[in-house]
Amino acid sequence: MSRKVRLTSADNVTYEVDIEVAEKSMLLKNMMEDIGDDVTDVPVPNVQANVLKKVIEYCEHHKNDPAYVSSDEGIARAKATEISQWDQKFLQVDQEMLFEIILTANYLDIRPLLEVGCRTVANMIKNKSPEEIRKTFNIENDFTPEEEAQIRREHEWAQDR
Amino acid sequence: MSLPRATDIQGTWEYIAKGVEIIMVKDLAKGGLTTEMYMNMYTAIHNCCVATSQTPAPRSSAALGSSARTSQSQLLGGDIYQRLKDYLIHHLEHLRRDAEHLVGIDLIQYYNQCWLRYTMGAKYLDHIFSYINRHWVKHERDEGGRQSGVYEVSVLCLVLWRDYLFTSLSQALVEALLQQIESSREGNPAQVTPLQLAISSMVSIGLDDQNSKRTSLSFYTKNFEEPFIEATAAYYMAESQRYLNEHGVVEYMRLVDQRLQEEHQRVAMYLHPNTEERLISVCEKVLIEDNQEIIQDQFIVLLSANREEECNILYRLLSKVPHSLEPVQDMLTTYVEQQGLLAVDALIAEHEGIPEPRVYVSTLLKVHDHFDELVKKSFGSSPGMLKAVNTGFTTVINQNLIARPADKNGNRAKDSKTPELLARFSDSLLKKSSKNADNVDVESSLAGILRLLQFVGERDAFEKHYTRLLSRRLVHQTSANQEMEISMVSRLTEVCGMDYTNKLNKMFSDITMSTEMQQQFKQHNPYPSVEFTPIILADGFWPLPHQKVEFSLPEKLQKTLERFLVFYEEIHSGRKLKWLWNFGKAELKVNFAKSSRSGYVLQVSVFQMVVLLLYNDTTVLTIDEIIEKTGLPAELAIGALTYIVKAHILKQTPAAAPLGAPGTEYSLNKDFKSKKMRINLNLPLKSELRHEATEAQAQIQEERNMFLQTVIVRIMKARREQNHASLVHETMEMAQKRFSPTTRDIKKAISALVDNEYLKREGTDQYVYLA
Repeated sequence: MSRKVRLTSADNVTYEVDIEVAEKSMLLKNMMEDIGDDVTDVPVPNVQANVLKKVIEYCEHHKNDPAYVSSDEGIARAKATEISQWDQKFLQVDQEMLFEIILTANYLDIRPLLEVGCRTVANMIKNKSPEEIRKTFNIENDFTPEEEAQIRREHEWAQDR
Repeated sequence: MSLPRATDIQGTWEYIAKGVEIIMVKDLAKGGLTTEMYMNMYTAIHNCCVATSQTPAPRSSAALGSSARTSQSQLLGGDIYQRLKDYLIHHLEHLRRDAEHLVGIDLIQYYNQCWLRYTMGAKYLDHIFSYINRHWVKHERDEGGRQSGVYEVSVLCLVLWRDYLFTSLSQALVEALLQQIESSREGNPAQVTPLQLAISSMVSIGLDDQNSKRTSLSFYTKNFEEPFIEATAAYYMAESQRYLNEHGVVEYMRLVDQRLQEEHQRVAMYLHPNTEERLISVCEKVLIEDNQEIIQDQFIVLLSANREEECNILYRLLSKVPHSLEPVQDMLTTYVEQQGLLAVDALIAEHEGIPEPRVYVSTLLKVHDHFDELVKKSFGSSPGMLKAVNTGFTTVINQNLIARPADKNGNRAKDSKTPELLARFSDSLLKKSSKNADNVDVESSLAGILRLLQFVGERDAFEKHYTRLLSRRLVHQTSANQEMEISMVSRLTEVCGMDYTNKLNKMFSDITMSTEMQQQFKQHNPYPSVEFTPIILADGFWPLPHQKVEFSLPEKLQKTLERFLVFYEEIHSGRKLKWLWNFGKAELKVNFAKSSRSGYVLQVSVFQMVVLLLYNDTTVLTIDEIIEKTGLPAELAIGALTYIVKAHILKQTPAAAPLGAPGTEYSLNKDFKSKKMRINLNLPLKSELRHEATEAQAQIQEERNMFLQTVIVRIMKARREQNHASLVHETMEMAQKRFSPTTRDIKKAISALVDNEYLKREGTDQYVYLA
């Protein structure tokens, strides 16, 4: 039987998870190391229950992954690998949820989740025109036509011809 | 307690400051900082950074493009970071003020206590502020690099400790540490943990300017190691002078030995391992190198008193300082020489003259054993010390009074007799003799000879004598044990080389082949009137001088000889045989004496045989008749008679006349009596023995001269041109293995080569090779 901790969301919903699952978050891992073995209840003040549940699901699934390598090498490796099927499916959520997951991963310091989330967003942008990107993310074009023309000139070198 | 508003920086700091106070000052043990506070502090910092950054920067209409927009995503957290920094500085100044009145161990204890508490808190802070580490600090460092003055919180803590606490305390602290160390050198047990902790803290705050995650030792070296090394040098300088004066050299060496061990332990207990090399080398310099003459001067005293343990300490100490063993090695060489030469002098005194080789060899071996053992026990089998012993021992072997006896005027013989004495001793061991009943004894004596041989300078002389004596053993069949002979030869290979022993082996094979041929001749000639066993030896391999002697062989023998010649011609047609009559021997069965019915067997030389066989026909002969009938030269005939007359087989009349004087008569002594049935008359004459030895010596000289000429030609052939000094030097080196030539020998050889037009002199100093 592995040790359990109870995580309580901002809206006061409590989830009980194995300690290994909680330790996917560097924040929680460091905290439990600092404070000691007797930690049982952990408030997670910034995260809503529906998001926390999702993030726990991710951590449960990746419980036995090797420890994240915090270095440029690790990032290069993450870039090189495709997003796994499970992760793709896991991130097939509405945009709002996707951004919440990314913010939470950043807050709780769960690097692999943060990276896979950002990759997913990047894939959404890839091969799209500015107009299409605005549409995808529901962004209002606040450039004047002159501004836009100038930016195009400045970035001519990056145009796909 | 609810979280502060994200945009309220002052409010956020006030919110987390309570936690920081707990972390840095108050009780961190259970319950001090709750999980909730921990999470809320982190969250407040996170929110502050995130919230502020989400507030769009006011857009300037003039600033277009990317530069204007990046300000929006600028990472925030600098304000919180700065407030933390201010807090820590304030905290450290407070700690420092409390240390100002402390000295000695109290200061060290206080420093350590603060350090432990502070580093534990720093770890918490690093985690709680990790959001700032990950974003704002990372960004600042990426942009500003080293100059930014921004560090991750864990590093910031160390930097501030170094700048606001350590720097102002360091002098007092290092002084206190050095005091503690000095006190432990004085014999007061030191408290290891406080020293270890305080010293290792200096390693921790020695941050690398290039990479803040790594530590560099230069801070520790500058702040602690250097003053420590200085103090050590001063301490031991004073101690060494005091101790030498009060306790003498031997006790001082023991002290140094112990001190070095202590300093090694000190490093293990509380210093950084890198300090070991510097520490030990300064100790060795002050304690050993600066006093090396005093220590070296003690060597002979200890050596002559046989104080092995102290010799060992002296050796170990000096071996740590480069070159300081060299004078000791010279002393050892001289000492071995003195002791060895004295041992030989004592031997001569005891025997009132030259003792037999066995005693001489065992005395030399005893000397060598003694020093060999010494090198093992006291000098850790060191090659340098062994070489010193061997150099001294070489002198002993080649220069002692037995090797080079003095004549009446005190002039020493030029060449060492040791090679000849060793060869003669080996001969006496390998010969059939009642003395050598015990094989084991013989084996160990031979092994001893081989050991000494390695130090003999004139190995060629030994080889010469050994060959000569071996040839006699083989021809006269006086060798005691074939196996022993062969094993000795194979062991000689190690010392003298294959070229030499190949020649010896050829001699053995000549003997084997002759024995086979004797068998064949027997089958060929099954009913001989006399038994004839010739030995056929290869010309040039045997050092047996050929004397051409004309004399008449009795008819019976002459026939057998001719029959053999025919037989031999059939097998090996065209070979020329030269008979070495002077090495022949015979056995005669005689019945003339009344005292024995069965008669006696006489072992005689060929010349003695020829003389005695004349008495088959008569009983009295004059000297002139003997010479005429045998056809022998008078000198050889008289020589043959010497032992025959001495043994009373022939009686001389008149008895008082000198042997072989004109008119003397020799008659068969029918009253001859002997307890032995076999009587050996074939004994070497003293004059012959002396002659052989001088002959051998002359041959050695001649061969050396030839050898030197060969060496010189070889060198000149390769070099074409060479000046005198280098030629002499090179020749000397190449000859060293066989013998040690003098410069005169070499000059003589060069002159001979110039005379024979192998070389040409050019200028005053140059030789040119003439092909």
